[in-house]
Amino acid sequence: MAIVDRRKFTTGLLGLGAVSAGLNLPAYAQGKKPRVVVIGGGAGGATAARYIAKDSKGAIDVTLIEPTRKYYTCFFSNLYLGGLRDYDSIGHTYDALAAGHGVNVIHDWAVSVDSAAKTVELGSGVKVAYDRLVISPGIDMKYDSVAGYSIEGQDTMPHAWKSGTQVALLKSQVENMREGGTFVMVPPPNPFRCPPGPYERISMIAHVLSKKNPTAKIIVLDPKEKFSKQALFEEGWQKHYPDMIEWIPASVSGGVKNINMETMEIETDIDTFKADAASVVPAQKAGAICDRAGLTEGDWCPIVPATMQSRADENIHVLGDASVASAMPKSGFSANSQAKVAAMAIRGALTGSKVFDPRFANTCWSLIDANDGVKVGASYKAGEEKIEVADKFISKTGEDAALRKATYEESESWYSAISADMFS
Amino acid sequence: MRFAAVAFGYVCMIGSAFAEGDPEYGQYLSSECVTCHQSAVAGTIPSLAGMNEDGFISLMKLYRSKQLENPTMQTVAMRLSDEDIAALAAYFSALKSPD
Repeated sequence: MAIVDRRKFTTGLLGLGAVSAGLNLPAYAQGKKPRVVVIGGGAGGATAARYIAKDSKGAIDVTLIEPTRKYYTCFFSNLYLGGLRDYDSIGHTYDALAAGHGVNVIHDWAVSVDSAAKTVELGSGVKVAYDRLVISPGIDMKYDSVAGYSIEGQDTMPHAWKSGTQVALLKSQVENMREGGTFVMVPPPNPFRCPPGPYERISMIAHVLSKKNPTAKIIVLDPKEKFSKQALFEEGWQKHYPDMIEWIPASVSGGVKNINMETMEIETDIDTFKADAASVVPAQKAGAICDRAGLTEGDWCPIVPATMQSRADENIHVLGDASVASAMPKSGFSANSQAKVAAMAIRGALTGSKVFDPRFANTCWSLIDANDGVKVGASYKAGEEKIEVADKFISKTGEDAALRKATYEESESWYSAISADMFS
Repeated sequence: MRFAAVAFGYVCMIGSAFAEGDPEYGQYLSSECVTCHQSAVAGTIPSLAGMNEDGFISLMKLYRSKQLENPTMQTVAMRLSDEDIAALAAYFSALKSPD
């Protein structure tokens, strides 16, 4: 198998590097062009690749490994589901990262990491060498966390929790439900990607049904007792979709006992619900590459807050949903924020650039009905052990329509901005 | 090379009070802003590139004292020192306006 070594230096410099290597000097002090490999082209990985390439001005070789050529964001996929955005508007390519910032974009799967040799093996068999590795693979599903659900069942009851074609499938199933039919949503247990996401999804499906199929019902069989922005969502559901949505926590239903994918029946202690369409979002874990790289404790990757370095390997930084970011929710905004902190730390380590106090931030906007937007957010700081909240806010119940419309419009503007911050 | 030009403008335009400031620091702080504020984006969130320096400082202090209402901006402003705000104002004012 070939080793891809992107150093483009003279043999004389390589000789100097070999002499200096024994002193454990950073790459830049050895006269070598340092290499950063980024696994995953989402909010964490694309942002990290862009900022390292942009701010190092060619001093660092950056390679981004991402299997898909067009990336569909999870954030705002609910607005597509609700008919408020078209599919193309949430899809992005990596062309500008390559052309504008010199990022070497490889469309392949990262199969394994050799942390001793500091290489990543790709699906093609090629090995890519790194000085620092950024892993931002997002989530994998724990399909067996819901009895009767399986990877084969994901087209019958789409989880649609990684955006893309699964969301398109779910949208079609919702729109083609029989008149007066029942949609069943099974949200995931904590912790999971996008805490308000299941409830925004319920809102957007209700938005569609209230227009096309107003006698339809939505049953939510939640494994949790409470959820993000609960008071805001429940107020909005009552206002916009009275009598359409029934949210049933596990303390009432006893939890989902089994799903029969053929009959579309979802069994609980109190009843067996027959669905005309359904979305089942299982429990989640860090993307599988994290396990294979030996970075996980349980389902997720512990990190050093100030740099997002893995607790298991100081040459690897873990971003976004896969990391244990403590107070920070698993969101695209969080991953983008963590990527900037990691990019600064990596440039500092590899090129000697300045490193400042890390700061993190997140805001999650949710849409309850057209023009009825709410948000929750916080600023964060790096504690010794955990990322900690510095300050936080949440929209209030009873806000007037003008403020809610302004919040929605703000979210549209944010979407364009963060997309540019990742991909332009 | 765009940053080099920005840094040059920063030192020349702002004089002694900001000459001691660190343009790299302003750039780092700005990375939090540009998640929402991008010059190429039309929308309700304004671009900050080319913004008047005094105007920027006044607005941020009004958000910090919660006299302006947006809770996202209040949360951002809460942890910015006067020096942080000045560094950001210098950084953004030196960028080319999208217009």
